[in-house]
Amino acid sequence: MDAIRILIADDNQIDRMVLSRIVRNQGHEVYEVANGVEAIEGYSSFRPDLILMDVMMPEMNGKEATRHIKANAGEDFVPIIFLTSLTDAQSLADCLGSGGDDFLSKPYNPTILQAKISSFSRMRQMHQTLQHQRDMIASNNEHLMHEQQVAKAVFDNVAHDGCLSADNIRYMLSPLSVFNGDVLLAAQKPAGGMHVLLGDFTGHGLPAAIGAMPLAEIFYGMTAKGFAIREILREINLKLKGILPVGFFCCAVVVDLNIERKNASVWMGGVPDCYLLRNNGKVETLTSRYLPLGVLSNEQFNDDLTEFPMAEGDRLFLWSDGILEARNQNGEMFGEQRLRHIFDHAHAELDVFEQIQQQLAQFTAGSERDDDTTLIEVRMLQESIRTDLDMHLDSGPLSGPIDWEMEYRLGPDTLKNFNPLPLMIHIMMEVPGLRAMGGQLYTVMAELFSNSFEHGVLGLDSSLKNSADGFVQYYREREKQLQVLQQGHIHITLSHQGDGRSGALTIRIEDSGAGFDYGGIQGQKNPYSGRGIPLISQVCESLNYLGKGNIVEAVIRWPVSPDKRTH
Amino acid sequence: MESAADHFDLESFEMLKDVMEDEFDDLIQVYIEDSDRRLPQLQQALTAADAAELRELAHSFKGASSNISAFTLTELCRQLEQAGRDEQLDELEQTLDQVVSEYCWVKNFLQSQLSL
Amino acid sequence: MTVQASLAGNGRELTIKIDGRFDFSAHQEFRDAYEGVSSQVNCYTVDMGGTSYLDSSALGMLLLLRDHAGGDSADVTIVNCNQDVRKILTISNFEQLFKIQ
Repeated sequence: MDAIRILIADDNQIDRMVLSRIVRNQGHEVYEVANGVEAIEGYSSFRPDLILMDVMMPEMNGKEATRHIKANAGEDFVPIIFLTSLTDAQSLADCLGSGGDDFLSKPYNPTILQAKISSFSRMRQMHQTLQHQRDMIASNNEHLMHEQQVAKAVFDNVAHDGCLSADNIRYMLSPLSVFNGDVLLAAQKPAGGMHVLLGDFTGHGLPAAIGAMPLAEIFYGMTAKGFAIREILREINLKLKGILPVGFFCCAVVVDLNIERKNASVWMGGVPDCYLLRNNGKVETLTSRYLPLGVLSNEQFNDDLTEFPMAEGDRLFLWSDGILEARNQNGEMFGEQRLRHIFDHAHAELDVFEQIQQQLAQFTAGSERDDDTTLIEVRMLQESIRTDLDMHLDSGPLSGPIDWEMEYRLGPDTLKNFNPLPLMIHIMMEVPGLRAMGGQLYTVMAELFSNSFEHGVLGLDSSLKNSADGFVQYYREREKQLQVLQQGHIHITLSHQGDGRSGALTIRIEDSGAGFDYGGIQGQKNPYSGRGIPLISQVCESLNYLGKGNIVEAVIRWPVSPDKRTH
Repeated sequence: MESAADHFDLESFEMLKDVMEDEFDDLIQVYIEDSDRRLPQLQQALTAADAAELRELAHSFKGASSNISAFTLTELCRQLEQAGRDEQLDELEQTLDQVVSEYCWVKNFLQSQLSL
Repeated sequence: MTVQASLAGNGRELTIKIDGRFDFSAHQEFRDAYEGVSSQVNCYTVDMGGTSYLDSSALGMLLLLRDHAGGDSADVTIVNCNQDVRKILTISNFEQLFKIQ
């Protein structure tokens, strides 16, 4: 075995000479002291790997010295072998009781001593290995904690609060919830209203958090650009299906809160029942109808929404299964019944959200992990929350593109498969002054584009849409024509002029169709009624047909004049 | 006729010689010097009826003698030590005499073992 | 928690029985139950008669089995669910992917 350092503490010179020789013969390094006090000093200065300690010594005896040395050693293991001529069991036991690890009797047998040294050396190495491993684990753990903090910071930047702090929202979310797979997102729609998403990823830790990032990115990005919730759902499902391994998915409830129409469109996949609490105390249950996100391919994915009318003051309560599974000290779960009980006994003076918080807190008091629940209350408002962008326009020039023009030409294959509207809106929204009008721009573009596409390129007759039967027939016909589309085009031209404080956007759409006789219906009371135009005239400063009637040009000016401001 | 085996554990003794090698002579010298000094001290302790001192001295002598494998001398010292611990010092003169004479024999033997 | 696998029908039907809590600790055994078996198997049954509890990682394992068994064309039936297990499967709408009896 390798040489080690051995401290010999014995007041008898003969003993020291014999032991020292035996030990040196075995190749080890020796340091000799003659009493307990010197032994303690010797330990500090020589740092032996093993100590041979005589029991009876002047100044301080071996047992006392051993106690001191063991205390000084702290976490380290320094084996101490007592040198003794004592033979009775009790005395020997006393020796070991004071911290000694073994004893050696006289006459000193070199073979036995060597065996003991070897054995203790192994023990000491094992101890050091354990310490090292423990330190590594602690260090790794610290790194992991740090990495999680960094990941959390990145996540927070992506999944910023959105409008979780809006007046009509209250929520409970633990700071590290993302590492439990819980995600809570809320975003204002440009035209008013909001999208809310509560998600619960399978798994824990970083794998659970990683899925949350692309999900949040898509949710916020697409909402800001005016996409409909169904398109957002499809995009999220596609993304998660693509990046998550088989067996990983995200249970979610997604809500499109439409404040103008006073309803909520809901999609639920894999989450437990949620409740809609109406002003009159009635409780409606919302149930998951679909598989969680990230399981099905987009062909199989069902993005149908369930609509719930909501009067002002009606509230939606959404949660993940964390709330049902919250445990108390006895290991019991909070469960559905307790939760339902709070709702069944709700009345005007009772703040249900607070009730839930209180009862949860009481229930889980004293047990570990009592802050893992994610809960959100969404209240229907009277009218949409205005964005503040209007104010900023008054204060000086803004950056962003001011005078520009772009042209986008779409052929039949693209028209079949691609919706260009989000891209067009995105370009328009680069103009700061137009950002507050996202929804209205979308409405205008959607109407004009669908007119051009359906009537101009597909050749459908708009008058069909006037009756219920005709409506169905219209869309059947539309589908048919779309399938067989071989030729045609649409050219979109967008241009903008401004001075930084005001501007005018011109939208021009030309289709390859035959046009229509627009001159003939001008002056009528409800011109173009088949084409949904009255909607648009509220927003546009002007709307004109050109050419054969296959070119439409709309001008939108900003800031919107007071009489034109829509709510 | 006495033999060394009556006084020494010869096997142990040989092992000690092997272990100590060139330091064997030093060891023996130290033992003899220590013991020569210790004997009168033992006598003084007994005369003064100092049980504690007697015990300590006897203990050291016992330990050293044990190391050089002089088992008879070791046992006699143990008796002295025990008496000191028990504080029974009467009739100890005889034991002390035995210690002195045993030591004489041991010393002679050891000196014969030194390399010249 | 124990996982038992048994073959029937000329080695074409594999039944996997899970007793106790079906959670992440069952991961390796569950996979071994269907991965180590010959590719003759074309019909799978998961017997939850003794399953006391099911968590989301168990749902994930069922999805993995389905994927192994051919994805959309897989023939996987889940049988003998108790009320709690049934409830979890219903909330997740797993009857859209598995036959549940």
